Amino acid sequence: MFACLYLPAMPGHTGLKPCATAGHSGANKGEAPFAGLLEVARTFSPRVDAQSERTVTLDIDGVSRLFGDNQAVGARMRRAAADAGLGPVHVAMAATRTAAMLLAAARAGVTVVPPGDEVAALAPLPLRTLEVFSPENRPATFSSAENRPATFFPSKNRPATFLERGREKGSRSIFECDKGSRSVFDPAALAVLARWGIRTLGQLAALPAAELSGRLGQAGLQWQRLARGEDPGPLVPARDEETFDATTELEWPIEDLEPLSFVLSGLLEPLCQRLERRDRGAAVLHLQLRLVTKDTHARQLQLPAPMRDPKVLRTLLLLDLESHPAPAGIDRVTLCIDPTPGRIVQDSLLTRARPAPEQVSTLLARLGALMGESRCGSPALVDSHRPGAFAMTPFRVTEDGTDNTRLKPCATADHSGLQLEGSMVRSGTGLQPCVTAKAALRRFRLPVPARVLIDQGRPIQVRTDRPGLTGGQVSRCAGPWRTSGEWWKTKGASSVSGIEALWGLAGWNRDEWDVALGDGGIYRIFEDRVSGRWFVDAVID
Amino acid sequence: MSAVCRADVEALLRTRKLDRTLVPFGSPGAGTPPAPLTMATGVAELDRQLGGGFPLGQFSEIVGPRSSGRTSLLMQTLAAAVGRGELVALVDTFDMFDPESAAAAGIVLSQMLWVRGEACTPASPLVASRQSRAEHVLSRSLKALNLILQAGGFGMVVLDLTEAPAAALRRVPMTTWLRFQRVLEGQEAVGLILGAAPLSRSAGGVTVSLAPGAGRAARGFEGRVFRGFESDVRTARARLVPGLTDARTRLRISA
Repeated sequence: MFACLYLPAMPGHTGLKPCATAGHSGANKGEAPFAGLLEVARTFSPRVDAQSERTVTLDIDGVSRLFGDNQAVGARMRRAAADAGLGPVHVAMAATRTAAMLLAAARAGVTVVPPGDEVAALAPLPLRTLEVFSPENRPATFSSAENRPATFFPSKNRPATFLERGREKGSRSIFECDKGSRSVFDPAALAVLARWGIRTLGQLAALPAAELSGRLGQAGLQWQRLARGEDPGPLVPARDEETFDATTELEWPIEDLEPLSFVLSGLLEPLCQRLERRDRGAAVLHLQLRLVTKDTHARQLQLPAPMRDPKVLRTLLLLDLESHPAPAGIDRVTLCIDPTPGRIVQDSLLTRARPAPEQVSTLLARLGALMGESRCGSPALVDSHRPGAFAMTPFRVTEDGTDNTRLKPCATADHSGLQLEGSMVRSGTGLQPCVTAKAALRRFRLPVPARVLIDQGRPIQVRTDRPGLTGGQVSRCAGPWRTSGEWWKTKGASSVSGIEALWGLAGWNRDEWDVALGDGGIYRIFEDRVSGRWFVDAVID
Repeated sequence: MSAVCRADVEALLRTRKLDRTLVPFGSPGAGTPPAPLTMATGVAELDRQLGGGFPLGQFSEIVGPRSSGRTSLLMQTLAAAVGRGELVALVDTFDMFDPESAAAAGIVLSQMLWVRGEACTPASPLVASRQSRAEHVLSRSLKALNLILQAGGFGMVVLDLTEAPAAALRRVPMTTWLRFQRVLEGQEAVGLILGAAPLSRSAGGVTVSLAPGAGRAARGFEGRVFRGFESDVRTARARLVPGLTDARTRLRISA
């Protein structure tokens, strides 16, 4: 048995008065009747489905044991709605939700239809009653985005509306059909029926189905099934919004991380169990620590992938607090989790298992605490000709290995493209061919100042003050190779020192030389053409 | 009698968890030890020289003086690993890694975890205590390496110690390397240490030594642009496959 609560649109009464029992103070006006109707319905049954902005259906099987017969239940529902400030609502009860909805839309007060009498009860209702199913009366969240009222349109900074939150993936309203539902419940078909002289639902229900289908297609059949009170699908209860937060008051203030880790474990474990039950993962962790100074120390962790392992989350929080400790003792801990659908991973027997995002996140957090957050990640090239320019990007592991891109062919040596040269080397094991690799640089992140002697325009000696890089006589050299750029960053020649250019704060203008020194090393040195100073930039290794 | 003594020694080593240092004994009648699983370096000749590549679950070394081509060889090895879909990690102790060179070598940079150490430069305010500063930086790098090894999931983990002062390296306790080896063994990963001299290869690992080739300067510095140099690559130690020891090849490194 199903019941339907219908809130009619009455002149002078919009039903938009905020509902005291709704408990959504932040909800906008358009959500108030929704929340109120759902709250009223939930006081009678947990199996509730919001069908439209003014219509809620609920399964009332077994409710009579608590509240009396159906008539009494209906009267109680009306009273509860009135107490909630919703005004007079229509209540109808029938064996199908469709019949209950049509009756509630058409008749005021309480209507109870015994099982099996739905068609007869619906027969005298006017055809326009079916407009309750038309797209204009659908809930804003079910309509197309263009038809949504502004108040219901989801915004980035606003939580999802009550219906949006209640809708789980896979559930659907009585209105909703498969793709193309717009054509199935086409209001134009109702207009055609009206032109045919069909005035009541009984007349529509009595039409021969084959003839109706031949003229109106599936839309006609769908409207006819509704006119007969048949449900297009089972009731899928709307779930209430579930928040994942927990708070604990501490008897004594905590100042160290070790006792705090126990507190966090106590908060995280039940939260993660709830996440698991709902097949959810944490997308963002919000930690609020109320301090003894009455200040609040808030931290927010954006997780790279949905996680619900309490140990991992606790470790990440602790590592973050190591880097950003609370300035005073903590007397209250509040933890809030933004949930997101759980991660579904399809492993393969044919590819190497990749580390889980939990592992990577923990590793990166530990490395960040040890080395500095900006010093761990993946290198990335930047769109610049500045020598040694690069950027750091977060290191991420993709589940499907799509980043596991195939090896780009090396410039000079790859698996298949090894250049085997003709020269041979005699060794203890025989002759071996000579193979080629690409030269790599080892850059001094801050170039080492050098003293360079020049003879006939070429460097002949390089000396530095750095231990282990004393330099020596230049045995061979190649250059100069002039390079410059980002001149627009240079405010004026007089204000530019070599250091500014080296740090990327100004443009660069240099002559580069590759020199082989007496110590056996091959170096890239350059002369800054603005300051005239020499530097050792890199080792060719 | 000798067999009894050998069994005793092995039992003692096992007790102290040093049994991985044992080398299969090729006595007559004993079966040929199974070849270790390896990871190719991407340089075919060197793979042949190493019996397939660097052994999995072991720490190996690439050593050589400055400008011997050790970094170039490392880049080739990393590129080959990334090309097979492995994740790689580089602990860059003194922050000298050049992403441009890596990209040119074929490394997909997004597949690489780069942990940047701290450059000990003359600009550092602690230049007076550079030695202790180097030890501090080295200590942090070793901790970072330990974290990466403990996390697992990487196909190749590299520790770059090329610019580390020898005195600082000597102060690293031997047990540190043993601990790393313990963590790595059993993983399908290669540990690589890049250094100036052999330091911490594990028992089953190999040491690849590079030295500048003769006459390289004359060929590389013709014209205005440096064209490259040559390097002799020698398998210095490979205890699990003794026949490979002292194999050589020549690596031409083009700029």
